[in-house]
Amino acid sequence: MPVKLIVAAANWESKAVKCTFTVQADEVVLGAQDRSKQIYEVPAGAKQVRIVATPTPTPNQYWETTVALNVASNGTVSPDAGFAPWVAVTTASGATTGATLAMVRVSRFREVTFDVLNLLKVVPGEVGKPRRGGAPTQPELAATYGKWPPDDLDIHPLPAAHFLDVDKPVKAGGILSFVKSPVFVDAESVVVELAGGNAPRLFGVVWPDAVVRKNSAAPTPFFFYIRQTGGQDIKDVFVGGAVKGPYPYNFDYAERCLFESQHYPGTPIFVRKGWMLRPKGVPYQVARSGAKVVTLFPVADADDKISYGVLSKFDEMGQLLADLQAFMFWKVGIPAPPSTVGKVALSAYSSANDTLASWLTSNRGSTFLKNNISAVYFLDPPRVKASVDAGLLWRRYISYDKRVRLYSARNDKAFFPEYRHLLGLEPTDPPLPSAPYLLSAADNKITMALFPTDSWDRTFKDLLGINTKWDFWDAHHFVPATVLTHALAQGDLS
Amino acid sequence: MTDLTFLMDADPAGTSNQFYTLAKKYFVDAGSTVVDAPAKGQTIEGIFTELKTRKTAQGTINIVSHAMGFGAIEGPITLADQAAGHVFTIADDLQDALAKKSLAPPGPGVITDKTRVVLYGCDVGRSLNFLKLLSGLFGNPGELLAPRRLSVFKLDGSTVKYRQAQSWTVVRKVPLTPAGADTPTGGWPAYRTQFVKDASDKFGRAAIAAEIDGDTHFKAILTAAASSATKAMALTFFLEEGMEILPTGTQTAKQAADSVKPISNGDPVTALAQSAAQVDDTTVVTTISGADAYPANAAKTQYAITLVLLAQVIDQDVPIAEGPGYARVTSGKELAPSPGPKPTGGGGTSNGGASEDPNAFAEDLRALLDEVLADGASQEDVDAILAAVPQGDATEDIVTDVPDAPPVPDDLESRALPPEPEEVA
Repeated sequence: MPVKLIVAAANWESKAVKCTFTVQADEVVLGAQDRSKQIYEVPAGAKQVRIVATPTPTPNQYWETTVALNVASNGTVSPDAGFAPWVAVTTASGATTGATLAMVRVSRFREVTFDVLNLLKVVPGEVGKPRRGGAPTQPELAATYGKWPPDDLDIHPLPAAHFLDVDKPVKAGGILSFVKSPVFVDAESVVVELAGGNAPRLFGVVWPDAVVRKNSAAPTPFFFYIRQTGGQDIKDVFVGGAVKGPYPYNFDYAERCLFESQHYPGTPIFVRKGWMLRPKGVPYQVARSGAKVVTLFPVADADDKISYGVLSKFDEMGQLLADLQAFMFWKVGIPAPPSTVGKVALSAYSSANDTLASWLTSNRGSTFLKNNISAVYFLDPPRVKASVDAGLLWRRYISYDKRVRLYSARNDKAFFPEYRHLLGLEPTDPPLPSAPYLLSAADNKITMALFPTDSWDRTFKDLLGINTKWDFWDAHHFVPATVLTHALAQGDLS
Repeated sequence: MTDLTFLMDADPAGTSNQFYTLAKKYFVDAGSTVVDAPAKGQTIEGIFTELKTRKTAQGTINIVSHAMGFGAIEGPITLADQAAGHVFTIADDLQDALAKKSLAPPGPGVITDKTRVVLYGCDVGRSLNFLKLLSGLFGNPGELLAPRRLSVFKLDGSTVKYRQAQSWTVVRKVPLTPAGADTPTGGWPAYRTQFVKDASDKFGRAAIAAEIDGDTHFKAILTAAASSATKAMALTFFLEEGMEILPTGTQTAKQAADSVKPISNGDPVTALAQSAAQVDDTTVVTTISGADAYPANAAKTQYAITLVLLAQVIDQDVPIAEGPGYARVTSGKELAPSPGPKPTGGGGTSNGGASEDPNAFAEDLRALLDEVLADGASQEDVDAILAAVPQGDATEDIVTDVPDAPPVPDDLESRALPPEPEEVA
């Protein structure tokens, strides 16, 4: 029976995506039979049809998709093995002819894990010489991670890492309390690229096995780790010095924004090998927290005028997450992702706290901010007041169920009024305790922690038996490398 | 039905390349019925004999064989070929066998339009001609698939995984390593440097065409891949492929070498690489001829052509379907030719020839469905198609233009840098 094949393309929610189509039957390109070039006749006897859907105009916000269909001898058309999530087939058969609609699913994301891994294989600069700005060299990377370049981007088990004791993070003597244990991050770690050339172009995705991708799955909860903005480093790394390649495909974007955020040098309680290389091990902290959440690592443009780009629009952030959720479900063969995304927590480190604070203010009318974003974590913000004000105003205008947690390394008295403000303390309330401390307020929907530099010296002595003399910038980096275990253990995404 | 897997040979004693050993474990663990090669090595005739004894229509038949992108698999066609000293099957052999009908296919009771023949051998999927001929020799199974890249069976803990490797080929006039040695003359560092230079010269043009600074990016990729590669099978490695040229009749060895016609390790490439990372042997073909031959011994009684490949394992699952990793042919005799382009109107616009009339698709679809309905299709099925046609515009709400981000205060509080930059490398 001759088959009339109708082709169309749509996104995850079945909204049309305008495409040009190339249709082949057994590798022979077919000519269209209609004015819009979406109807083809599959020759009798053909066994396989291949459809390439190319979104137009180009460049486009969706990537090109290729699918293969098998054609049975009776004309029945079905997706070839592995393509089922990427094409939906609907058929109507008459006595002598039949019509089949093949709806190709296109995505705003495509996987580029292997390309990013390749970027890590050549460390910029001359062998044996330092890099500008103290950027890590190959020997420093190898000494930190045990080997360099890495074989893959997986999050490998660690036999003995230190994690903040969530129940009792501070112990007597002004020492931070850590538990040492092995950690296994049972998760798929990939890098995806957003179509259309908008920042952020790349996203690291660590999807735990515990967030099961299956039919009728619950909406996926997401956690963003938004690293510091890149402009402060721009003359030394990302686009300067020996680094080659435009955003986002060069070594520094891959190493600094993805690998360094995702890995530990075995444990966060570690004496650094150089100046700039400060691994954060975020997926390990997430795993140890017990939170069943997908962690995202957006890669910002180092040009601060562009920075995190479209993420600044929270409703667009929600659309992106829905597209990403669909892509990751299709990737494992599940054609029907959840129709919405779940709760979302945003964390920002250092200068990115300014960005997060401004987003909370500028998106006050966002449905996604209201319905999905449930928590924000400020990780050692330089301008404490801006973060505290933005977090508290968000709670006041949207809901007092929203969670705000701030972890600081700044033991300057000038910041103490802001710490008290976050905790809702009145001038007549007792003074804050001596640092380090971790305090909660508003039924544990607010956290204020202060882990200053000297507390890290005492902690290293306690855990490793060594005397250190950390400066502020070390404490500044220890905060994001350790406190997320606590933040994500508070049930903010449940 | 259980898959049937044929090993075309076994690993020689003492070899470091455990291709067949690991492949066997991979397929045994997957539940496939594995047929070992006879002591002298398997032949296609041997495969057919085994299939005929089974007298059953086959589902998937896997064939594991060392192979080359020049269109060759290990194992000759017939036992007579094997007795005559043939080791490989090349496209010309297949052509001869089909023309002379020297080997009957297993028959329609064994090979059907549901049968899937899958090759696991390096690069051979790059030659569509070879695949079509091999499919014909098998009696035109439903489909025949073969890898476009190097095939690697990799031990991961106690599990064997099937992987492919990206490769870059250069032609050499000396073997990779001297006989009996594990290291090239001059040592690995010098060899790698020269290889990267030569390969960059060869592939760089395609890389430049793919992206700005593509040659630089490509050279960096190649340098990284080569940096730890040796002959040992690892994530990256060097591999030598060779062709021994033997004189026939009254030919001298030199005349035999000169008579080698140009041959390529793949069909002409029509699709350009989209990035420097995609520039490799699948996007740049290597052609060799008699001009590449060199004396293989001091007496010049034998000539050879040597190719050296730098390979990098792509550590991800390989879909056995038409795509970047696999080529597929379906060469059943019953296939009708394509009807070819038959535009019914519109055309000639800037949008790939498609009509820009917003109602064109809806009208043409309606007309088609009316035909199908008149032909007896159920209203319910036709309605299902109409309901499944995507509506709206998925791009209309996408935010692409956002204002500049607020400036980040330029003070030391936001900086996590050392106070004084060090000298640049």
